[in-house]
Amino acid sequence: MNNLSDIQKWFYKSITHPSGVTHGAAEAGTALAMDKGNIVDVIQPSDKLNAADRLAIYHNAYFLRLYGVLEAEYPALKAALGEDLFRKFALFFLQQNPSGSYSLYDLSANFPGFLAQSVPSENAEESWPNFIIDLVRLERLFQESYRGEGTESLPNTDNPDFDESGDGQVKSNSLRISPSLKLMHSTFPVHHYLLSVRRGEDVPLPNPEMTWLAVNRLNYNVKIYELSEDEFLLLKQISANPEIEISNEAVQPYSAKWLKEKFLY
Amino acid sequence: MFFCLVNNPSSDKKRFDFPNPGLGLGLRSPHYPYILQNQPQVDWFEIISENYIDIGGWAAYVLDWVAERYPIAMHGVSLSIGSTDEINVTYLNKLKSLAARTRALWVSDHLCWTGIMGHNTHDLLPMPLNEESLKHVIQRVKMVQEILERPLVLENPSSYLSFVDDTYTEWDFITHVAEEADCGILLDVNNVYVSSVNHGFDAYQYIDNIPHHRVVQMHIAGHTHCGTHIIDTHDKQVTAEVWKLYSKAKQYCPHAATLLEWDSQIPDFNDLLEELHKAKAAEKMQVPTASEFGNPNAHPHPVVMDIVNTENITLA
Ligand SMILES: [Fe+2]
Repeated sequence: MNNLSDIQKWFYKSITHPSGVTHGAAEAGTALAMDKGNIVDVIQPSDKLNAADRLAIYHNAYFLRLYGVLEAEYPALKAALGEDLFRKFALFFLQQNPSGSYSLYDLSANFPGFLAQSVPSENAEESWPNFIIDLVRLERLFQESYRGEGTESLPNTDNPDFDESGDGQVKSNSLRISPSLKLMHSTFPVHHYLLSVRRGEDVPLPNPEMTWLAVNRLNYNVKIYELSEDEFLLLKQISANPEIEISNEAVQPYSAKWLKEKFLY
Repeated sequence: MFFCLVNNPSSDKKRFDFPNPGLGLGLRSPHYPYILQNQPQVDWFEIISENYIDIGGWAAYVLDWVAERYPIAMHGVSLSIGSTDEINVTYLNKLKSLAARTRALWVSDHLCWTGIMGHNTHDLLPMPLNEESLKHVIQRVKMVQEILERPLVLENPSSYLSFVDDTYTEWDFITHVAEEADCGILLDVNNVYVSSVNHGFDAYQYIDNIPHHRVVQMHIAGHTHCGTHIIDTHDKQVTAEVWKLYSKAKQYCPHAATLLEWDSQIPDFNDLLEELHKAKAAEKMQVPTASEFGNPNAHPHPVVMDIVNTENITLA
């Protein structure tokens, strides 16, 4: 009789093997040095299904369920890649990045990183792979901004001292970056493509264009903001180092907007 | 006659100190706007615990709004009580905080395992039903209850296979777990029916032989017949066979709360309420008549997730 730990390892390897339960079970049985590692040694058949078919129900469900999560979270990436290619990347990602979390929201945290390593690299910044990588990054930033902490529930989000430190410096203790603010730079207007797909429009892949974006949540709605390069770099500096001292002069053009949109609070 | 009055000595015993909130529904994101606008008449809500752990934003706001107005019970899918991996204490502490925040009536999960070697399949995988696994689960339930500082309530999942090494029936196994670890039972009547067809046992024998005073809550749900087996899809009405079984279970467990599960192709809130209220007829043994639904390509119900909605994203 196999012990519980071996049975569970064998079961897991069988239902997550990309080639199906027969291959998975054979590999697992060998790896675990199980005396009785064949499917029929472990799984009871029913009147209508043999042991392998019963185990395959869990194999099918595993990939369908997790693929369904990626499909729901990355509709723009799916539109850009086409269903077949998206499916290949998604299934390959799931094989290499099995969930290690109690939460499905963490499942695709590494999807952008995975794609960055998986799509063929081209040197030109304006290349198609870079569009794909930036698109998937933006879709992930959406999710993080939408689900994470925001300013809605934080106390004291109207900071009256923001622009009036008096010594020509705006200091960290009066500058707090919203936890829902996400920043990204792309060589493509990925946000236009993403929003069009989400509206159900059939759009061609965009031409390259230098793009600086902020994603932020305000009153539970996520908005995308187009930024100038200067504004983007300033926000990047502040979010990288909350202790930084920045002159009022530099911040002045943006301060009203940042407060109104709660980039800072 | 099919129905007979049950004379079960255990049915009068009080199970823990849990109240019976009545007929409830799962809190699901497609219904958030309707619930906030209408504050509908429903006795209580069940939440999927993992959807509200580590979460800010809209879902967290709705959760707090609902918790102020309705009783809430927590139903988890990642406890993995049967796994031979270590118990995730961080996760348990988060469950505990969520229970405090929502003033949860009780905390439930499934008699299953979900992963091993640090991985989570996000599926409710079947336990081998033998001496080794029984001891293992009992000891883990005790540990979890100590950390949570409250009784755990365990649900019988649907299963699609059984193990060569099984030596217990499922109802004996769950009875031993509940009695020896002193935990509650969430009796999913639909899962009993699904598994009875898949494994060829008598669903009524199952219901007859569990400790009824430990049944805190029941689940009812729709399933899909695939010809060779039944899949627990949570995407349609409850079938007549399951309502019959529910009537019987309700006779045994009059104190148990009832919850309708519907997780895929989720209908309007009022349609869900209508389906839920059929439970009242079933309790009077007037069984509703939705027949068996077939689809050879059905898949187990999806994990419930709050996906970013299109209407929540705009260009400034
Ligand atoms: Fe259930």
